[in-house]
Formats: sequence, structure tokens, C-alpha cells
Amino acid sequence: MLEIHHNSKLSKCGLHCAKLKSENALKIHQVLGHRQSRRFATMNSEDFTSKLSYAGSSGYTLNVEERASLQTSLPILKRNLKFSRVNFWGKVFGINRDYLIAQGFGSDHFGQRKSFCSHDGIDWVQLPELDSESIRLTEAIRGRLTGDPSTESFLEISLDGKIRLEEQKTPSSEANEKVVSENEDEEDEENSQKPPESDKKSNKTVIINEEKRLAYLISQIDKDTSVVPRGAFTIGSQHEVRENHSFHGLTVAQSTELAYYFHLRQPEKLPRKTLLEREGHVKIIDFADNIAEDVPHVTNVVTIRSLLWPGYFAFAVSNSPVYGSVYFGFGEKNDDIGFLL
Amino acid sequence: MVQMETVDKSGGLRPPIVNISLPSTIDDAKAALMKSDSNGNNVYDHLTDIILRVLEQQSDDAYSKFEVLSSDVKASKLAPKEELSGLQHIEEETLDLKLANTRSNLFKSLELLEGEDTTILPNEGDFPDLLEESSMFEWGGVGLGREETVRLQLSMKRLLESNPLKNVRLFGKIYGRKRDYIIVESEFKEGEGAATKEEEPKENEVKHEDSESETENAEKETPAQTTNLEIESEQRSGTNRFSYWVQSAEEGWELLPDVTPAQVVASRKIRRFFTGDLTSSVDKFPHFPGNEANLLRAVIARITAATVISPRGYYNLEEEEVDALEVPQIQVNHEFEGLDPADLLRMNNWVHHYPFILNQGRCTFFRPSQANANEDEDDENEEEIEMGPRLLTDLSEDNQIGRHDAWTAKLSSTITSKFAHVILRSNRWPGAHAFAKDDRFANLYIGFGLKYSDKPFSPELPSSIQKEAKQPQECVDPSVQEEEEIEQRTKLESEEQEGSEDEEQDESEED
Repeated sequence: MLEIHHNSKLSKCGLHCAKLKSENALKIHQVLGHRQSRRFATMNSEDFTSKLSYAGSSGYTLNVEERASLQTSLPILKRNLKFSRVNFWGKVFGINRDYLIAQGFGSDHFGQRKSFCSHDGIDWVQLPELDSESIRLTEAIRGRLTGDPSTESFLEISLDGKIRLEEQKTPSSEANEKVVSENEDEEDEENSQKPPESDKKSNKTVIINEEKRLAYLISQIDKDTSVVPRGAFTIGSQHEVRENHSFHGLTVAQSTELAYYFHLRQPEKLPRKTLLEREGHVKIIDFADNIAEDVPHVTNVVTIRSLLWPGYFAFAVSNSPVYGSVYFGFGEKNDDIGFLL
Repeated sequence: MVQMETVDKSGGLRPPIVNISLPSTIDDAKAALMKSDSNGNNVYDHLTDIILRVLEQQSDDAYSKFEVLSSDVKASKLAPKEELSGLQHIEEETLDLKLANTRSNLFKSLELLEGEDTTILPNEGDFPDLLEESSMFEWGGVGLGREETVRLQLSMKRLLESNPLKNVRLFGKIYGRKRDYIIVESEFKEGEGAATKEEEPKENEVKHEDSESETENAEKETPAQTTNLEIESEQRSGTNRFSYWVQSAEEGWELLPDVTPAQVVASRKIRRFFTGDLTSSVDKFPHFPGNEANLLRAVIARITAATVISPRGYYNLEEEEVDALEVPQIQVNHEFEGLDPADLLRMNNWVHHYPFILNQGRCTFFRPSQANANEDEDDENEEEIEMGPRLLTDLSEDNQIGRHDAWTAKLSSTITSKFAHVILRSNRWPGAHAFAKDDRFANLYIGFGLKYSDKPFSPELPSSIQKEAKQPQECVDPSVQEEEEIEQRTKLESEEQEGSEDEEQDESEED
């Protein structure tokens, strides 16, 4: 109480007085300032463990071992590849093994972002960038992931452009070793793109490995979700999208309304100009009423759940700049959503 | 001085039009900056505030944050000052306060809550160590969080204390679109049940239950009844051996109604997200007999039958040979010492200990003819008894899902595998988990309550359109003459048969 009073008096005294008298207040605010610089940011490498507890109502979490290993490996990843921020993205379940996913960002949130996958949370493998052709092909693959990045899906493309999934199989142990040793070599990918000799003249077969599928899934989930509270991100002076340092959280009433959350992604539905006027955010349009006014062990945490991508959870703590999102799921889109509502 | 005059006239709002020259002295500059706008704000004070803010916060990136700081300072001025307004701020009862109030009751003893005169006998029911279980599940990446678990444990204890229950077990959580359901499984003590809760004498209990289910069936199953003989629902066995309590938004426990076979069958044909409101209607095709509470109960029955599992050897069959029409009884094997993690990774060391639900929607086959006592039908049906996998069948016999196995097993830790335990994840019911360590095991479901299918869902098609009734044939209207003829003829006939009684008939014919 004393602090506040003190400050308001100072502000009226003009510059010189302020300089002298605020010394008293300085120490206290230094601590606050330090905290402030760390608390904004979503599930980044520094604070994802504490954020995970907010996502507790999702029912999924990381075990102590995974947390510990991520805490070790993410800062190294951030440093080695010169990211300004590394986020823990989530976990994609496979039949045999699970993938932990992390994402690295540059200074602009909409700039280049790179995704990494790992089995143990220590060794990270960068996921490939996809061209439009392989995106089209990968889209046709349905079903669970196996957990082995080298699992190949054989796609048959008929003359009229229809894509059909023929079979999925994991290469034999020898081939497997090769892939592991070469570690995502560019050549390997090109080879896999080459259609092997097929008997039919009209149809050709293309192989897509699970690594590509994973990259595709992550980009799709990012596109359809990436939920942030309104005002959390802003446009900087260089027209770059960055976190809003003056975001103090939504009020309790606001936090339970979907209109106060946005998809943080490249604008799709509005012309760019309007978008800049609206502080660089697109409204959530894709999924209606999926807000779960859910009360986990921390009060005032609002959880938003994607019905389109079961397993995606976003949370926001009302009246505080804490928010984040995480994905724990099988990497399958809910194609039946029309029947389920 | 000319400049100053223009400013005064325009009330300080418009910049001077004539001859702009920089102020020559510090005082002039200060005066220029301190010119207030109509709201009494000026640049000088604003800059002072910003500089003060920068000094207070000592942040390294004050330069890049400058615009933000500026708007922050402006915003803080807009906030009404409490001491000036003279209005008293009344704290509203927020959601978290409400929650805290209801939760605080959990931490008090029942005696304290119900008053001192009522003495409550402690209910010695079976009760799981949730915290221990939850830490085991956390290794597998599932769990509700520790604080939540403590509250849940207290809440379950309260449930056990205030109801005649033999045991309670946490089933898990089913997500709803608005609210989630936390579900607890329990078994009523012998002779106790949902009906007795409503001050029913115990002698009438069975009758009461019967009549209740009958009226329910009559209400809900009228469309189904016409097609087939009704399949009786199970009482205190099979799908209804356990009763389920649901808690949404921490408002006490609510008992779910027993499930009927028709509901189980119908729930298999539809897919629907739960809303979080037990009374909401299920508007799906084919028709589901009941509301969301019934659907929830039916889905729980299916999930438990498919995913409640235990290590081989924990349970034993009481009798090896059982009648095909009875659910075999199982008992805990007290000599069970647990299996090695390496063994538990293999599916044939895990067994289902809840009975399989048949296509009929019951765990035991029900012969409709039993009720009719029709011997001919009985003979025919004898061959068609539907049999599911036996109780305690191991998981390796579960059907595959496409190319994949029904279950994924893994060790809790890869680094320190010496102390690791095994966690199983169901691929058929995403969200169903089980763990086993030493002689302990537990099951937990956290999910949407939807069964996984490798094929896109296609709802059942409406039944084929019925043939239209035959069009009545057209015929020529009789003329007046013909009508009279017929009239006369009938008159004659009737007079011949019975003389006096035919007056009424004549009248009606004339109409």
C-alpha cells in the first residue's frame, strides 16, 4: 500500500524529484521486473514444467523423467540452432513409441519455425519441410502412427490423380540402421520419393515415410489450433508479430468466452490490411463452443479443447498473463466431427 | 507572445497556425510541453511518468518496450481512483470462491457438518489409495494432477461414508463439451441399492426396482418393442453389477441409472460428444432410448468391459465349470505375488476381469423364450446361444484394430528400468490405461468416451422406404335412380328378415 501511494506522489513531482525519491521503490520493482521478463511466453523451454501443471485437467502430462530430460535438452537445442525461443509442443502417441515434439522460433513468431521430434527427450531430430506435392500425398494417409520415423507408407496414384494407401511397413532392420546412421539425409528423402518399378503403366507408387507424416500433422495441428488469448500477441514496429509485454490476462468473464481467443497463424480469412488493424490476430472461427469451463486444481484456469484435433488443449489463467497450449494425442484428425456434435 | 494568444483562443486544442519557431529558452520549452489538452493531460507529465516507470522496472529492453510503456501509463491514468469516487466496491462471488466454499467441506469431518447429535458409523468400505495410483499413472503420462487427486480422494471417501457401499474405485474422467464428468464405480452392499435410498422398506426393494425398470422401459422403448421381444436388463450382475456415480463441476455425486441392453446396443451405433449436462437429450439416428445420463452409463459399461484389466493370476475363477447363462464369479488370489515387468510387457499376461458384453447388450445370453416358456422355440434357440470370450481371457486374444494391436505396453522409465513398472494403453478406447507394479494394479480412463475405429464413421442408413398403400380404385358414382333401387332392395330384404327391429339400420343407411 505504501508503495503505491509513494509512486503516485512521485509522478506529480516532476522528473528530478522522481529520480531521487524512487530509489526506495527501485529494489522492490527490480524483483518484479525480473519476473516479468520471464513470465510471458507460452510453453517455452524455461517454464514449460510449471505450465504443464495448468494443463492438468487435460489428463495428460509428462513424467518426471521426460521433464528432466527436456529441461536439459531444450536449452541446448535453443543455443545450438540460435533460436530466440524453443517451445515444448506436445506428444504424439504411436503404436510402439511416442514422439515428443519441440518447436524453435526466430524473433518473428510468423517467421521460420522448425519442428523437432524425439523419443527420449534428449536427441532431437529436425522434421523435414514439406513441398506442396508431398503435402497433397501425405494428406491421403490415415491411421495411427507407429512411432518409428522410417515407417513407410506406399501410396498408389492412379492416372486420374486419385491417391490410395496401399500398405504401411517398417523397413527391415538393415535398412533401419542405415536411416539412423545417416540421420535424415537429404538424399534419403529423394530416394524415397522415386517411384519404384511398378507393373502397371498407369499407376505409380510413392513412398512417404512417417517422419514426413509427422511434419505434416504438426503443421496441420498448428494451423487449426494455436490458440492464444486476445491481446497476448501484438504487431511490433517492424511489422513483426511478437508477444505483447503489456498483456495482463483476460478477466474471469472474458476468459470463458471463445471470442476472446485467437488462432495465432498467418491470416487466412481476412485481408492482411484489416488484420494489422486488428493487432495481428484472426478470430477463432473453425470450432465453435468447445470451451470447457473446466476447473482443474488451480482455480481460474480456463481450458479450451479442440474437438477437431482431440488431444489439443489450450489454457489461460484469468487475470494473469499465463497461457499456453499443448498437444497429447494420436495425431489423428477427427473426421467424424460432423456426426459427433 | 502571438503564438500564446492563438492557443488560448482555441482552447489549447489546435496547434498554432502562424510562424512556428522553436522555443528559445528552457522555460519556454517546458511551458510548451506542459500545455494541457482538454482532459488536463500534457506531454511533460506523461514523459515524467514514463521515465519513472522505466527507472522503477529497470528492464533491459525499455527502448523496445517504449510504446507499450507509454500506452500502459496512459491506461493507468484512466483507471478510476477508488478513494475519489466515494463508491464502495462490492466483491462478487466469483467462480473460484464458490468452488473453494464447496471444497472446504471436504476437509471437515461428517460429524462436524451434520451436527453433533447424529452419530455416524464409519463405513468400512474398500477404498483405493488414489495418490499412490496417480503417481504410478503419472509415469505413463496420464493423471489429473496431485491436488486434484487429493480432493478427489476426499470426495470419494465422503461418498463411501454417506452411502451403503461396499467399495469405490475411480473409473476416470470423460470429457464433455461444457463440463467434464468424473466417474466413480461402486458396489452396493447386499440388499442395499438406489431404491433404498429413497426411504423404501428393504422387503420391497426388489419389487420396486423391477417396477421401476418396467416403467422406464415402457416409456423409452416403445419403438423397439414392436419389432422384437424385449431383452430383460440385468439386475446386480453383468453390466449392472456396479453402479456408477458421476460428479460434474464438484457438485456432489449423482448416481447414474442402470443400463438396459437396448441402450448398450443403441450406443454402439451412434457417436456423440458428451455435453456435460446429464439431462440433455440424445438426438441421434438410430434412436437412442434415453438421455445423456443413460448414454454415459451405456458407454461406461462398454469401456469397462473392454478395458478393465488385471495381471494374470490376480483373480481366480471360483468354479472352473460354469453354466453358459451365468456370469462366472471371480475371487482375489491372495497368494498372488505379482509378475515381472518383462512378463507384463507381453499381452498374454494380462486378463479382462469384467465380463464381455454380447451383441445382445447383456453379459449373459438372454433367451426371450424363457419368459414365454415355449418349448419349441427353446429348442431352436439352444443352438443359437451367443457366447463371448470367457471371463479372464487374456489380451492377446483381443481383436486387432486394422493392422495394429489393441494394446500398447511400455515401461514407465527407460533410463532407470530397474524400478520401472508397466503401463498399458488401449488403442481401441483411446484414454484407457492400466498399470501393474508388484501385486498392485489399477485402471484409469481419461478421454472423450469414443471408441476408436480405423474407418471413418458412417451412421446407419435409414431403413428402406415402405411401399405406399394401394390407391383406391375409381368407380362411377351411382345415379339417383340406382341409389333408389338399392334402397328399395335392401328395404325389402330387411323387412323379410326381421320386421320390427330394423328402423335404426334404415336411418343409418339413408345417412
